[in-house]
Amino acid sequence: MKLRTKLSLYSTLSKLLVLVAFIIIVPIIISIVSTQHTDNRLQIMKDKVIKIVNKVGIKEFLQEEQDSIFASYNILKEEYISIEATEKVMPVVQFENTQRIWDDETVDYRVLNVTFRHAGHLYMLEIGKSLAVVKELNGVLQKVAFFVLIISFAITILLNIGYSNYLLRPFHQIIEKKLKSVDTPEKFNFETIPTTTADFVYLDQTINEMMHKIKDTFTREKEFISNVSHELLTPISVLQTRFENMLSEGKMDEENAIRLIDSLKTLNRLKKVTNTLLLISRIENEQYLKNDSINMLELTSEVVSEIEERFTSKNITAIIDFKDNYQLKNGNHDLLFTLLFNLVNNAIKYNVEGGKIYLRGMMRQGTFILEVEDTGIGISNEQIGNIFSRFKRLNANFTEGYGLGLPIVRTIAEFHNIEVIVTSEPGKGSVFKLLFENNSKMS
Amino acid sequence: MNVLIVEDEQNLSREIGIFLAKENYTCDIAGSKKEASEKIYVNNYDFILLDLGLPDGNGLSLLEEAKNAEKEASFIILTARGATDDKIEGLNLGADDYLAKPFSLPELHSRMQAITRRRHGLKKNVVSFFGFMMDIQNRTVTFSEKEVTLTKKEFDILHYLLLNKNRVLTRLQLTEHIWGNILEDDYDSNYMDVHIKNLRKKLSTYAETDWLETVRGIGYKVSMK
Repeated sequence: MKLRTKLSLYSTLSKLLVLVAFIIIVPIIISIVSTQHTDNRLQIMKDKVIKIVNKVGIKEFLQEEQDSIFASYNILKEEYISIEATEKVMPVVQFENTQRIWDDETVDYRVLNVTFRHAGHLYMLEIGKSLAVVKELNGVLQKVAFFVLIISFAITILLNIGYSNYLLRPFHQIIEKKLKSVDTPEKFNFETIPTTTADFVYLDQTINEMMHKIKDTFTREKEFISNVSHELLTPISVLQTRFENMLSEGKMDEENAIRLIDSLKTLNRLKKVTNTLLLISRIENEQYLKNDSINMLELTSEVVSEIEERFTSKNITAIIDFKDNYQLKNGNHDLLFTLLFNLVNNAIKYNVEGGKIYLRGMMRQGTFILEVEDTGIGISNEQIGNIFSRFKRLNANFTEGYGLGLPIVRTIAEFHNIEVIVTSEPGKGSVFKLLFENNSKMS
Repeated sequence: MNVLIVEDEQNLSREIGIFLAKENYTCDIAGSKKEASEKIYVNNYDFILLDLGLPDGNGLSLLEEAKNAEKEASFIILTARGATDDKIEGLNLGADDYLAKPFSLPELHSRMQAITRRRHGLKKNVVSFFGFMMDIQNRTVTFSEKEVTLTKKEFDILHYLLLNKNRVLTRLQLTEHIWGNILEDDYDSNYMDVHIKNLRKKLSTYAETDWLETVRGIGYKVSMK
């Protein structure tokens, strides 16, 4: 879940909680407040009634043959007063909620009960005030509170989402503008992302510092490779030119000339190894561009025609069979040529006289597969795990085995996100499958 | 023709000098940028063979310097750095060619000859040998108006041997010339012998090919008096 979503969700939920609490608490508060208010009113009314009774006498309020009497206040059933004689002394004022039935209508009342003395007799005074008004008021207040809360809730949620979006923008900028667009550390965008949020400034700075370090390391490594290659290739160059001059002077007898040729071959091997290791480390350092769009069928034909003489000299038939073609975008043509050349060259090298080489192209579940199959000597199961390992081969006898061709194949394949799968049966041949995954669409 | 070899490795510049002297070039040697700069200023060179990694800096600036001074020299960059950036930058600055170290001397020679042909706009891009005519521009070989059909590689081999006539070219040198810098370690194959065999077969239907000599154990040579 996105941070933005989480933040919004959190704020929504917390507000919802507050809202629910409010909706529950508001009626309680209102009822407490209104009860208090009613009680105060009843007290005042009581004092007034007692005052009137003292002034005009109790007879006005009492009627014969009746236990109690209701005052004219009662027309709307809002309030009533009843006075009756009693013998029980109630020392304090009492409040209670009761129901009274008037003309078949049940009305909730807040009732004040108190006893008082008048002219030597004890009377019970009961004043009631209808709660209908209070309830109605309560309902209205609750509704208003509810709507106000809902509206403010909606507004704050919108504000919240907007604000968290605004707050998180630098974060997305750091990812989009900086981290996602990194191809090589050298092309990293060191511009600071404008933000007032200290955390993002810190994040931005930390990423910049880290990238500076990586860039330095990268540059140092590049320099190192460049220096090593210079240091190794210059002496090789000196020896090669010297041997070539010695040969062309023609003063040497045949035996020595052949020894010199052998030295040149050894030197050449040294040169190839150095160049191969340099090539691999340069690819691994991403020092090659991937700007070419490559048609795999064309590339295959190119490789085959380049190597054609080798087919004929070993009487090998090459069969190109592309069920589907594929256009690889963002590749390096020269490197892919080298990759395929090495595979086909191996297929020739380890093939039998008069053998066959199949070059197949096909789409399988959205993945383009390029297959190089030979009818050669094959690779044993023990060896198959090691054929791509350059150091294993370097330690082994150099002129035998798969040499440095396959480590190059693997490095170039990795550079292009191509998976290489090898299957082989000793004595029957090998199949090298190149799986072009998620690279680009079919042409 | 005058050549300036700008190379800090003395052993190498001496060997290049010895080789080019035999091909009738007059060679000067400069071991640093400063020295080279002075020599370019004073003399007129047809060729400047430029190493990029010089003790007092990157040799590429010499190229700019010379171009700014309107010097006519052709530049061939010789470098062990081999980075494609260098190559592109060098060619952009007006270098005529680029050779990665280690290179073979006949290869250097053939590149220089190609530049000479280009620069001087030689009309006569035709080499005649033993009754055959090689048209370098159109890449054809004819014998009294009849075309000898050669493959691309056979043509390249014959051309290379003719360029370096009277010099033994080893199988290795020939292989490198026609295969370029494809990295592989089975140089010791007999592919070159197969090519030569086919080449002789094709040419011998028209005339004798004993001028295309096999030098036992070493390589091949075109002998011309």
